[in-house]
Amino acid sequence: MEEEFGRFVAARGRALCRTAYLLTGDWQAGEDLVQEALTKTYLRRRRLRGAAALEPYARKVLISLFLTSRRRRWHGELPVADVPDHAANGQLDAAEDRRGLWSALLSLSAQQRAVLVLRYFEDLTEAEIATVLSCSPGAVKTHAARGLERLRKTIALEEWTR
Amino acid sequence: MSDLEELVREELRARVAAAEAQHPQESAVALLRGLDRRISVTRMRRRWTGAALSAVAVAAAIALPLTLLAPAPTLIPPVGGGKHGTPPHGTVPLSDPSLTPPGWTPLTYRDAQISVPSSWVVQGPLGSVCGVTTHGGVLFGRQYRPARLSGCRLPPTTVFVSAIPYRLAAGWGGPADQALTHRINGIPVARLPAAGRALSYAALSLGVEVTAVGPKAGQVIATLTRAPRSVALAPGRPFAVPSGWRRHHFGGIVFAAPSTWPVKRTSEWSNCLSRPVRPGVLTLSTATEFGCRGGLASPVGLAGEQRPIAGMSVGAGRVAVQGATPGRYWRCIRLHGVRACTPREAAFVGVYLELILYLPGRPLPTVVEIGLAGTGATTRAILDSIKPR
Repeated sequence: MEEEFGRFVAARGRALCRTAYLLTGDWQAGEDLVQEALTKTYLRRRRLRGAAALEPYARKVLISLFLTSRRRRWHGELPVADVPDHAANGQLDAAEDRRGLWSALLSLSAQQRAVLVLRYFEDLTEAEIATVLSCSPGAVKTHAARGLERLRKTIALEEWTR
Repeated sequence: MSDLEELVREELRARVAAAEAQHPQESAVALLRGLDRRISVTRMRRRWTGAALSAVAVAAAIALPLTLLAPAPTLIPPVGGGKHGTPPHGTVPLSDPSLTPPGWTPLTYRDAQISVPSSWVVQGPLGSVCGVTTHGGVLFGRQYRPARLSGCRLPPTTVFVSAIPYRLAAGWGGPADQALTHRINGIPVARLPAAGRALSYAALSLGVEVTAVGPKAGQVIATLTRAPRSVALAPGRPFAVPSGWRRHHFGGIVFAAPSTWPVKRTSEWSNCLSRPVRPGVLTLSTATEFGCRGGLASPVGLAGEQRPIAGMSVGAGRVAVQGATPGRYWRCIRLHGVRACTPREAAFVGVYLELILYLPGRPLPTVVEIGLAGTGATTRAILDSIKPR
């Protein structure tokens, strides 16, 4: 099982890092989250039903850790190389539009962001997301709808999605 | 699917692609290494917690009837310094490099150092040495349990080094204290019962349990000494800067280093996990570009690759601090009023000591890496000399 877990990390660790990056908005913080999730998965591995159960469990722990960390008021200091501010002049090109969408995604609540990432990046169904988040499919629908609505308002997408 | 949903999908994929381009595949190796360390730390914490709860339960079970029945309260001996090899205040025992025979390499785990032939395979808690065709293997973070290894063909000599809840054991004042009847190179140890012909010792002051099986078991155990990292970070009086050392100003700090080390100024910073410090060189880097071109060391390492080196690197740019996030720190200390943190990935590496210094008035921390070759005295003297400029 030790080797099996090592193989699982080698094969799927990167995929988990991608999801974690989209949740946290920072690759290093995402890796940290993945390590934490994999550590918990490793220590729990004997109670899981085979290797196939490792990834769903690791993903569930990852999301749970992300939501828990966001509930805390202080998220820790994060040294950055560049000051992350940029001026907007009202005439944004496509790249700036993308940056606006990304900022808007990061400004969503943790639940809304988790739902959107699982829905549109991991391509999970509402039922699967509900299992990961331990909530009802109705709650997933609500989070997704509110998240999209907030994105629409934040970046004023109506004009150019018509 | 609406246009907005399609746009979100595209955006998420584009962001991931851009991030992956900046963090190529070798970070998977870093992930595995970091995971190894984190699992061993988590296990250690769990064991401590479990042992603490058991100790409290046992103590309560014993103390409660005694308190009710005894005419006078029982005195519990205090836990003092100076026991179990703990240095008395102000003095720091050094590591002994003369215990490493020629052709062997010193390896560290927690506060302990053992030496093994350089060709042996070294693995972390997730690794395995089953079927490895070398003369020997070392497993860190794993205990020797013959039942679990049934069916595994171990190398002729295999060494298992794992953490023990030593602070708890040292303060217990009971059987663990009385069992410290042996000394290996001046370090008090307890001989542990082990299956077959295995040799097993617990060194409480170093926080490790070492078990060796095979023809070279005795030779490996005989190299046990304090790790240079432990010497550098141990509490006690600061080491004086030896005469003839040179003072340097770089990256917002002032520090002293041996004058025999040539100074190399560069803009590159090697983030390779294997050898960030150049042997015998003081590297002062503005750290604006990566210098990791040789690839990363394999996670399955040979002991010879872990050989500690003398030398030092100071990185004062954005490349040096990549990955320096507080969530990844193992421990932070105050160093002449400066907060200095060790990343978890480098917490137990025996090759070099890495510290991330948060200096007042500087937007980015300065990264210092000091080689851990020798007794640990050089590393400690450099560390003690670091001051904000």
